[in-house]
Amino acid sequence: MPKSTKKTILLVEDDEVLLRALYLLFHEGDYTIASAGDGETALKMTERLNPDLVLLDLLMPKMNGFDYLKNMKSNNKIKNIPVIVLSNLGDKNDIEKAKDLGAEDYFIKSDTDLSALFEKVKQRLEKQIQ
Amino acid sequence: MKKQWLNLVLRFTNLIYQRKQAIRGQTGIGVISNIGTLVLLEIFLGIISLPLYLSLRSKGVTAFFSEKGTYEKVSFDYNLRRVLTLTGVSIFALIWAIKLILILVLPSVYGPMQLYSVSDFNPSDILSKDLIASEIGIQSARVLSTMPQPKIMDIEKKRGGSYSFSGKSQPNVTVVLLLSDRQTAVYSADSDKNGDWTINHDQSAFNLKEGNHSVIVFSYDKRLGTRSEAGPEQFFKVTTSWLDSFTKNIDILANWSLVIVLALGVFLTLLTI
Repeated sequence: MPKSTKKTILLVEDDEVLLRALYLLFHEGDYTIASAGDGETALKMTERLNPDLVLLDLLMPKMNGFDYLKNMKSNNKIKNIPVIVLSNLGDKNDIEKAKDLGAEDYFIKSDTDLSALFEKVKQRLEKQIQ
Repeated sequence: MKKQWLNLVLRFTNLIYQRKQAIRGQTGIGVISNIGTLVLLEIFLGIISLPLYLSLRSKGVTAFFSEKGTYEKVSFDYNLRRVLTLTGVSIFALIWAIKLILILVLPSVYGPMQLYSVSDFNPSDILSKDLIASEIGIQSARVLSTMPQPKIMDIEKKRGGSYSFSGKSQPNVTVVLLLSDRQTAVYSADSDKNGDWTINHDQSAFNLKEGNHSVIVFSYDKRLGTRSEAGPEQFFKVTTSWLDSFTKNIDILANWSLVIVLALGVFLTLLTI
């Protein structure tokens, strides 16, 4: 069975309320959405699903977002998947660390407008098509 | 509108995170204050995120699993804390919704309705009663048989469980009302130039039990030091209808539900710190 032309987004977020909110947000974009509540599951799902984009939280149980990025970027099979971080951590060091580890973009939850995040994800996925 | 709502959810999850971080680094009275705020934030998040649980409950999330070559549902792991908080909030909201509906549909239940029916007016001889009056002037007043007796025309239940007795008498006299339960309460009020008078009974000061109660009134003229013969002893029956009990219980439930939800919120919050 061939993979659908619909783009797949993996939402990695341990807060279920927010996960549901993000699901509802991206559901409008006609994407296939998968979710994981911790870094370990997210890594397994990234390998299995090969999503087109990962939206990653950093503070999570089992494996945090930084370790997820380290593991993911060291795996040739999935290292090119774009990762956008959406985190509570707003410290400059955390942002630099995430970007150094391969995150393409970084959104701080306290300052983020979900419309802007949606547009960012949409643009990034359209870029992949081109 | 939808995105604004989702933004609000995001803001609150972030505020909760920040508050938890603040509690971790704190000691003393500040912790209690932050826990209180945290509980309120959790409850508010529970309320605003309720549609997320309702709308996404049956949908699930479908993802393509390349290894299997098929689409499968990736279900959410329900978070116990959220579910319990939402359950508490739902119960709370339901009870208050019932209370509000009752107020809207049956305003008289919470308004100035005569919950207690007045029946069985029986004449009685006042002389057989041992009157206890607080005012010496009334006790020592000369009984004048020609002085007209006042009449009770209406008994109305007020908001908060108090009662208002009103009636007719001679103009500009003092009307004395004796209200009996296990003890006798003595009230007095002056009638106006038309002979109308009203006496208010405060249920919180003197609680009337369910059952029969007698009311006796007579007129007293301070100036002449005379009083009328007592009017007929009138009885009214205090009954509680199923609606009274129901609304009373809803009221109690509504108040307790707030306490329970707050206690649940504190407990769940402490578990997550």
